Amino acid sequence: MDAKIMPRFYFHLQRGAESLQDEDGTELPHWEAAYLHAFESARELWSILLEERQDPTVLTLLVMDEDRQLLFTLPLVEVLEAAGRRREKPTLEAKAEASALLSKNRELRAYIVVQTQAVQEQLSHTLDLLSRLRDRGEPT
Amino acid sequence: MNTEISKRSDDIALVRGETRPGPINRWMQALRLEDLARLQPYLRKVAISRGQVLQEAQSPIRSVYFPLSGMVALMTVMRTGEMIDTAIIGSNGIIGSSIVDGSRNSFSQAVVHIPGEALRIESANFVSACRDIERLHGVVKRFESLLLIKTQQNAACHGLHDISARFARRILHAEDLVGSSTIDLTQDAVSQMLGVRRTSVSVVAQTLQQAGLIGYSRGHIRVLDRARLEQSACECYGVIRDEIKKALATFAYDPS
Repeated sequence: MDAKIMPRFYFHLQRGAESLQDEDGTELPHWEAAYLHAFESARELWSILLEERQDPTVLTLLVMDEDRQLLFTLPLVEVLEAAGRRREKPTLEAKAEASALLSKNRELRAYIVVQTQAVQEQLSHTLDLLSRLRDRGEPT
Repeated sequence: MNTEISKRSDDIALVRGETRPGPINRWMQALRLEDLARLQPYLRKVAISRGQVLQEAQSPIRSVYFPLSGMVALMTVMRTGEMIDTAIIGSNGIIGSSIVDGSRNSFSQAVVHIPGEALRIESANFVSACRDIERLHGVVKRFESLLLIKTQQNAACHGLHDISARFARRILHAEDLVGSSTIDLTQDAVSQMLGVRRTSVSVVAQTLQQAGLIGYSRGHIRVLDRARLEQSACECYGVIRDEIKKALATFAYDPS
């Protein structure tokens, strides 16, 4: 077995104060895969919880990394939101997050413009030097 | 040489389950002793360990296994890697027997979920033994038709029955095969067999636990109330158990 060692993620299921602990965890290649796994688990849990006559809407998946640090939470109701059946107004937090992301984007774009200018200046300077060199090298 | 011979006769006693009590394969038990003696030189007792893939899907059948103990699941694997069980095999079954009718490749994957032992025979030897020993051929054909019944019932079960009923059924099958109310079955194994993610297994296990039917912790299942567990399992448990009994009864040991 020469498979690359993958990080382990833990998926706990929380209902209010009680939680169903994931003792063993699941090996997944990266964070994004853990998110996808959580989302698929949440989608699947809906049908199983309904079979068990339990209310899925009060449950949240907590995803931890190998050091048992919380990576993210996924309330089961978000499965419905992703399906577009339920669109709530963005919360203040989400708005703040979005505008922070937007201004960060603006900063980055401005930085790219400055960098591009610097590169162009450098390039024309190099071309200038090269042509001067060529002028000097030509036999008179 | 002498030790080799005595080891072989010990093995025969073991598979026949006669002079010495020990694990037996029910389909080998259906053979006459003289047939078994002819087969014996080709049989090798091997350990089967948890997670071991005895047979890859869509791959050549190299060996045929007669489990003596433990539990193996036949799995159908999708292109996405998703899988679900199609049959559970233990000492009441055979793995790779489809080679007898010329299937070079195995359709399904065979994975060990509870470790144990098996008698292994190279598939070429198995095929020629089936040609030479009429009763063995009959036994294997009967098992093959039983397997078709089991997979049909299982397909209907996956489509129609709740997860908790399907989980309960697998615990009952496992208890029968292991012969003990304590079953070491990992959550991964259960989730693969049922074709669901592990969190779903936790939810269902918790329900059965809260109802007092099983004790469950980290891959250890204890059957606490067999009668009620049977009630909460789907009818498929009884159907499959009875079909196995019927099939084996065809070959009830005939001392003549």
